[in-house]
Amino acid sequence: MSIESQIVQFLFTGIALGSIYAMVALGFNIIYNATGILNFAQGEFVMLGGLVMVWLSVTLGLPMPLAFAVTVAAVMAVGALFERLAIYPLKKPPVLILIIITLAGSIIFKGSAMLLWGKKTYSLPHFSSEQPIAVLGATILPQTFWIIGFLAAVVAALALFFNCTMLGKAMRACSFNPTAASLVGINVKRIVLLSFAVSAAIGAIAGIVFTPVVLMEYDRGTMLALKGFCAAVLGGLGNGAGAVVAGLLIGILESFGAGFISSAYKDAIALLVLLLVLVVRPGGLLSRGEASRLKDF
Amino acid sequence: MSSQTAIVRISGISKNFGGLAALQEVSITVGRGTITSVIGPNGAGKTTLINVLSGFLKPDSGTIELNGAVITGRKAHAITRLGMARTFQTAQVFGQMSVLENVMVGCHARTRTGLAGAALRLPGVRAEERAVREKARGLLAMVGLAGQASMTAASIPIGSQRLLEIARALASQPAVLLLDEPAAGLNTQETRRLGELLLDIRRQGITIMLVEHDMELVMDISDEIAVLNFGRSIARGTPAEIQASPDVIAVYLGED
Amino acid sequence: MHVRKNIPLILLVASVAAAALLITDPYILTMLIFIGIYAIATMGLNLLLGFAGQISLGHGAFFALGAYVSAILTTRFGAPCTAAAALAVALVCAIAWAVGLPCLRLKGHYLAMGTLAFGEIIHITLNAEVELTGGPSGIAGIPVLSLGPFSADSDARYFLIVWCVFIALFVLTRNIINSRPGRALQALHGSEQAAGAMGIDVAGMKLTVFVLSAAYAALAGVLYVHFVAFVSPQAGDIMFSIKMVTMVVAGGMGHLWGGLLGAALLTVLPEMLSYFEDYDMLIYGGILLAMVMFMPGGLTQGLARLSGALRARRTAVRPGAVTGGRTEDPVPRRTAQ
Repeated sequence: MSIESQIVQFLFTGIALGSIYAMVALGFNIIYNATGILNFAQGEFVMLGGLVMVWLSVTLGLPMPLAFAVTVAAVMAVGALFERLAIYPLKKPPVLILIIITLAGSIIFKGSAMLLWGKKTYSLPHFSSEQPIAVLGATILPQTFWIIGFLAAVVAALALFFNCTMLGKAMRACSFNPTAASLVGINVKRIVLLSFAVSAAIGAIAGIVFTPVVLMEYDRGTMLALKGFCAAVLGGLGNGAGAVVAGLLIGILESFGAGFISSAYKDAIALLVLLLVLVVRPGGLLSRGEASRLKDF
Repeated sequence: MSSQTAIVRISGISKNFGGLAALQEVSITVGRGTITSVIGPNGAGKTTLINVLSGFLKPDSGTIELNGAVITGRKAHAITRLGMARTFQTAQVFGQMSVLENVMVGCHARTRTGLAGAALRLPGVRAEERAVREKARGLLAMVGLAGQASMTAASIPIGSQRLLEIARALASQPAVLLLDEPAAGLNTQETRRLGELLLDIRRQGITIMLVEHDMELVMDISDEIAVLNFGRSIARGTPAEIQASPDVIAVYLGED
Repeated sequence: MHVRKNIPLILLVASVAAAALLITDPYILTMLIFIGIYAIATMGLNLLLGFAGQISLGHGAFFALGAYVSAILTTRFGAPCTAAAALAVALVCAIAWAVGLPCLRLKGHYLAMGTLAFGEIIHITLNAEVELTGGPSGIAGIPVLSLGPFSADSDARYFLIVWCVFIALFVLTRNIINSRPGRALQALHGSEQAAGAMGIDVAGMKLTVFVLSAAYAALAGVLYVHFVAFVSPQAGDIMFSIKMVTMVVAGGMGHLWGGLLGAALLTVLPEMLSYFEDYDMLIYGGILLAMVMFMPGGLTQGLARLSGALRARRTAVRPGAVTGGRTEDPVPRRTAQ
């Protein structure tokens, strides 16, 4: 393969990977904006999305669209339930306790998934043909386009939701000032619940579209969460557009790193970027100097 | 005021937050051994001034001198070691530690025990530990909290937490004590006792810089008063002069 | 007063001595050795997490690094165990310092993510550097600890070494906690701002306690590797870091005895429950969640509350025991506020 087509190949792989990281980062941001919590279980939603989808569509043989909808609803319910059981009952918990709670949640999800699905790796049929498409000498799987398409759909849906619906506007108000939001009659507690549900749904979608390409197993969550978090921080925590750009950037970086440097260390690349960003500019490279929200951390 | 008697010299301090000028060219001189109060309406920049003085914020311009040495831009812990201690507007006690331990933490700046010495309990460390404990007990007695010494700091009332903060700050043997609204949330009787305590502290030769809303307290105990409004220093003088100043009256009447 | 305060410690010393003489069952000795090793690591993490209020999800990596460095030095370079152990701890301290210097400017969530990322990088490296670390299959044939003519070649001897180290560290750590630097690091937990205003170098103190707690983890790793005689990257995976956090939280954040209690409980529990292997994540997650939600002070505080309540009931029935003023909290140290 010529170097040009190799570059195209890595670019597409990177964009597909990056779309997933972007979706995880969006999930982080939604909960963070509503609550100031970074949900360590965010990657687990992706894992659950993939495995539940496998169960519904492969094991039970449900038609793809139905299985898709049920999977998203089920993972949403898991996210909402987690919020109700573990976050809701606590009054003003300190950050340290919140970290430990979502961390505990993440290993409970992981442990449950291991009990239900074992340590096996599962695959899922591609959404459409598995016949690669030739682009400039590179071979691109059609699923790549599905992944990119779903990222676009999620971004569009979120934009619509936050800008054009009352509920979305209420959520934004909460992120600016929860006290003021509750004064004008917004039920902040319900917004928190909603943020967990929406972010679980996005995670589930990421898991469903991702699984056909990379397969899925019970312990994928932590790494996905770390890389998604890397994207969220790089894009400026809480900044949706930043998360998407940074997610794609990290995906591309990882894909080129794996191709040209070392595949054994491909996972370390995003982590090094994360450490570097945290050290050099925790406000995010792509943020507009909106560092004031970082105060709480 | 002559230069020999000035202990803190604030010259031309400015601080902006985004577009908001919290302090503009503020200059205040604090005389050694005085109680100097800074008053002004909400948002006048009083707490910002304390934060700049104590090293929690860096000023955009201007200099601060303590005992003739420039301390502008030094870190908070270094400024404490140089002899300027502070309290906070919302009391920040170490909630999970005992009241006595809180004051013992205050001795940090004036003691030296390091990790290795502490771990091995060297003889010098034991002596220092005893001295610190005695000193902390003495300070608690002075502010009237001796009875609560072994309670957790989070469990005592807010008024007592404020007194605890003063004792803790005094434990660092400051030359200058910065107090950020120590009377907030105290009742009349408690405020009167606070006034007596502050006079007592001044009698020990410690200079006090007081930011306070309670005018009765300020007028009662201050030697000098500086008035801030919208980040500018608009007047200074003795309590009598300030009470008579038309500018100050305008500021306060205008606010209501 | 002094003797009373030391009763639990005297009891521990006595039971360690008794156990070394009386217990011959290798299974029980092995378990006690593991409890001691984890208790050492937990004590260090407790300094950071419980006392100073800073979270680390990368302590499993320090444990693994301690184990690997000592393993590599003894198997590849034939270094004597004690020198290898000392070098391993020193090297981990240096690494912790280099990682902590930038990371500790971060707070809360950021610190957690930063240390988690660090732990993962170490895990990846241990797997990838096959030349040095043996890759996923690890290093075997690591010699047992020895110093001159004395070799810890029996379980009873190893038990004694591990627990002597624990007791020595316990005394040193308790001394630190009840002194100037110990109070300074507890002040960080209460309020970093106020700590700074008291003349405490907040950044420096955080770095110190981070390096110190990494040293405990490394030492535990060294003791582990020379006992098991084998190490693989699994020794330092994320799950192990989370197990350490669980031990601290379950035992009681900010209670020195809590670390021992948590380590003992979470070492014995898996042995008691058959099929624990499959359920371990669920159980650890469940314990972690239940503890922070319902007993944030951990078991130590739970027990203290219980005995305090019992004592209160006993005194309440005595005439004249009821005082008008506020009663002292039966538990002197409250965490997680």
